[in-house]
Amino acid sequence: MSAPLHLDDGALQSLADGTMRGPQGFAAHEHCDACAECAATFAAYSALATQLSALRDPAVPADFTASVLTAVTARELQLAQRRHTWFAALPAAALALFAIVGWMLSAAPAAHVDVLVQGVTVGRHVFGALVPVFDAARLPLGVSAFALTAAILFLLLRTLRTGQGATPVQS
Amino acid sequence: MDTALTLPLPLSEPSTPAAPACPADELAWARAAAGGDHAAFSRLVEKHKSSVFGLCYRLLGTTEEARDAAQEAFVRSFTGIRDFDPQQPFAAWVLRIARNHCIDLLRRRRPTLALAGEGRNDDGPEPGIARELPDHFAQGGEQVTQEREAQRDLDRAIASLPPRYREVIALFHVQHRSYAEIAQTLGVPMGTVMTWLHRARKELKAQLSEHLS
Repeated sequence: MSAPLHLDDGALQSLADGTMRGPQGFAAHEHCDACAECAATFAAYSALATQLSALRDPAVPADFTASVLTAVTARELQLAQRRHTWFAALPAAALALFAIVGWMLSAAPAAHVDVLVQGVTVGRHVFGALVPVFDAARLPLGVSAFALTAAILFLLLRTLRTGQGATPVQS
Repeated sequence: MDTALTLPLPLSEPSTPAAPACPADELAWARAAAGGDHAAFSRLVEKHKSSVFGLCYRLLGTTEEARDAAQEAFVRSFTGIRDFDPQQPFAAWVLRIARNHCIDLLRRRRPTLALAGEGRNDDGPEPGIARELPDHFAQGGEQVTQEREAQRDLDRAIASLPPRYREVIALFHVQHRSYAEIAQTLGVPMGTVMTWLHRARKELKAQLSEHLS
């Protein structure tokens, strides 16, 4: 006696949810008409598909869109503030670097640089040659250092003020 | 011994259908939103809030969590809208954002909180509020009660499935999306979607055998 042939589970599901159509669907329906086991499985999957299609999600809260827009506005502000904090950090870092280098070169340039380039003979020789130049240019260096500091502070202040005053785009 | 009779369709679809593109109106709204237009973005939210909220609900199980997750998904879509690819529908994109966010939330949950269906608010009223007595005669009698029970069991059975199975059930059966759209949303091949869907339904059938017989 030959073993009975049955439709596989996937085919029965596809038949039940309507995605199996055409000649294949027709053949599968014919098979179900003649095979009680496949017909039972098909009926179960059809019932399941019906129940699933009747499922309803809960209603979206009435104020959902408004709350999304409020959250969007808040996130925009947050991102703008974060961006401006980063922008402010850059001139601050430049200022700090400038202050450190300035301090190192101000009082006893030869001694500081000697420590910095310790072991580098060439560097020391070059600096030795430059010391008179630095001495001669002390006043211009001081003036330009002051101007640079003022410019950086101005930029920093302006950036911070823009960050605080950032307003979201109104809908 | 049973032998399976296999049919070529639809498990192996003849060819991958072209992925649906973004509708013109949505594309215009998305572009305007990328320029900071909140009104245009609110149209996108209005159009897709049900599907996003529904998917979040199916994944997280409570309306409150679903609301928060859906809101976060839309906020993320707004902040990243410049990355939106107009070759795909906005729905698929925002649903993917929502889905990834929900998966993150599920991963962060403690195991005790991840029990399927726990916390669903359809099991009863909020604490402190008396449960409304069902008026069976007014609502059609025993049949209505049975249908409600069947729906509740189905809800529970779905909630007990792994997240990826819940997703495909929600997208295919509740939101009536095509295999191609689901594949696009989940970022997996269409064959994978079909496999997950078949496994999910097989599991549901096993769990709900009483109601389906």
